[in-house]
Amino acid sequence: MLVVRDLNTYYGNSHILRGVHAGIPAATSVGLLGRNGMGKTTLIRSMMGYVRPASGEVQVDGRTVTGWPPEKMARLGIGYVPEGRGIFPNLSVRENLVMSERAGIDGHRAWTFDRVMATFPRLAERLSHGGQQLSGGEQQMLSIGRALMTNPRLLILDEATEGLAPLIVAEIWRVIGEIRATGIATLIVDRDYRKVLAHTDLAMVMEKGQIVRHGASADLLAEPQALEELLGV
Amino acid sequence: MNATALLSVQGLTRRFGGLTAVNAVTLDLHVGEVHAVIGTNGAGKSTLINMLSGEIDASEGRITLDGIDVTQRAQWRRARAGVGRSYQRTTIFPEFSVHENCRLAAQAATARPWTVWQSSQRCAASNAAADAALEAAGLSNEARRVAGTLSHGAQRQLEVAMCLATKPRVLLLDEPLAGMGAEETDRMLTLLARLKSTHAILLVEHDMDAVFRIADRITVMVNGTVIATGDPASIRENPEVRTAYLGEDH
Repeated sequence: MLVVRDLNTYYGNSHILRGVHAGIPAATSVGLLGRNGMGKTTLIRSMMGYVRPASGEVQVDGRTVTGWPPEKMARLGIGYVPEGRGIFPNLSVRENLVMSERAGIDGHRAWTFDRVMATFPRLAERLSHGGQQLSGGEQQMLSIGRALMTNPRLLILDEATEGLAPLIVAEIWRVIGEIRATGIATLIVDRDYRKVLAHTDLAMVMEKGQIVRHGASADLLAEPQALEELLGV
Repeated sequence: MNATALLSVQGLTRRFGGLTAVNAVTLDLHVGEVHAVIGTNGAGKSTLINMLSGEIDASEGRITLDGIDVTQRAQWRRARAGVGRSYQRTTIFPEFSVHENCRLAAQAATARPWTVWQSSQRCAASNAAADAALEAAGLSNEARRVAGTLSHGAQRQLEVAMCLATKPRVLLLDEPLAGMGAEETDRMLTLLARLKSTHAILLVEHDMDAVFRIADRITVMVNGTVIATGDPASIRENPEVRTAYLGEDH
């Protein structure tokens, strides 16, 4: 459903994305791996319209949407859980969720306030708390819950487990598995490559602004030599 | 109190209004030991570090350094007495060179006021401290580089180097591995293993593979309270710790 062709993005004079070709099929989980500084977050930000690529194309369902602003990308059914979470500190948990409530692109409302509550019981206990009163793990759950309230077709998760306690990390992965099972496509960036490969159908590996490897996640997991070379693990 | 501890904490408590963020925490830091403090998000680990470094006051309890009570001492006096810290978020000056970042940290730690007629660039003591810190942190080759152009991992290393430039004996490290890749993590752990022979290290970290690899002693906090302290093997097996924090993966 989302395709990127020959994408080139610069920050000032630094050429970050160097002709990236990538695709995320509908209802498919895709892992995006690579060392720090290889361009993973820049690729996501270029897809989502936070950064304008210098050249190349972003397409959703065959329609060219290169450079569309993030809010228009969201209306196409793409949910984004950014690194750092980006929740509204002055709004309550309930307000953070309700403000983003929207039917999916085909009018369905599979994800409702009640379903988010059932998925994240911890949030249900903190409905009136302000965003800044939540622990890191609760903020992350709120950020994911808020993205789900838009009933996305594709959910992009950038380092969703960063800085969280092991038990919370396990819970986030459980939820990611649950989201995948409902048929929402996912694009997952996480430093734990084993978990990424276990929770995705396909994997792409970035090096110096290019996708240097893509294929079935299970295949990559079976190639320790490639993993060492590409990820240093 | 343990007589050989460099930094010793007894019954340390901090309240924010009705919330007890840190509740009667007791622990010791020794030279030659990495003491990891782990615990749930919001357990009070950063508040504990902030009290040890003097950024916030303790509501109750005592902190001693070399057997001397420093509980009431201001942050800058503790820093000069040898308590250094790094932050969860990178706090370097991105437009300055790597060496300048370290020199600034060293200048701040020198007791002697800087002479107004001498350029700080020629302050021999600060330069020497900066050089030594960069060497220790493995950043000598990057000394002239603009700090903001370093990779994330190298910026975190610089953060530790800036801490070292103040010549601390105690290192309080708040999630130094956050956001690091596998190789960067490896480099940082090698650095910490080297530093521990001459420093007492307190390490707050969520990367359990790293903690179990490097820690000599682990303290586990939940909701401000210490629920367990011990060597890594006993912490890993502790059922209460598994239920409250570690889960089944570790």
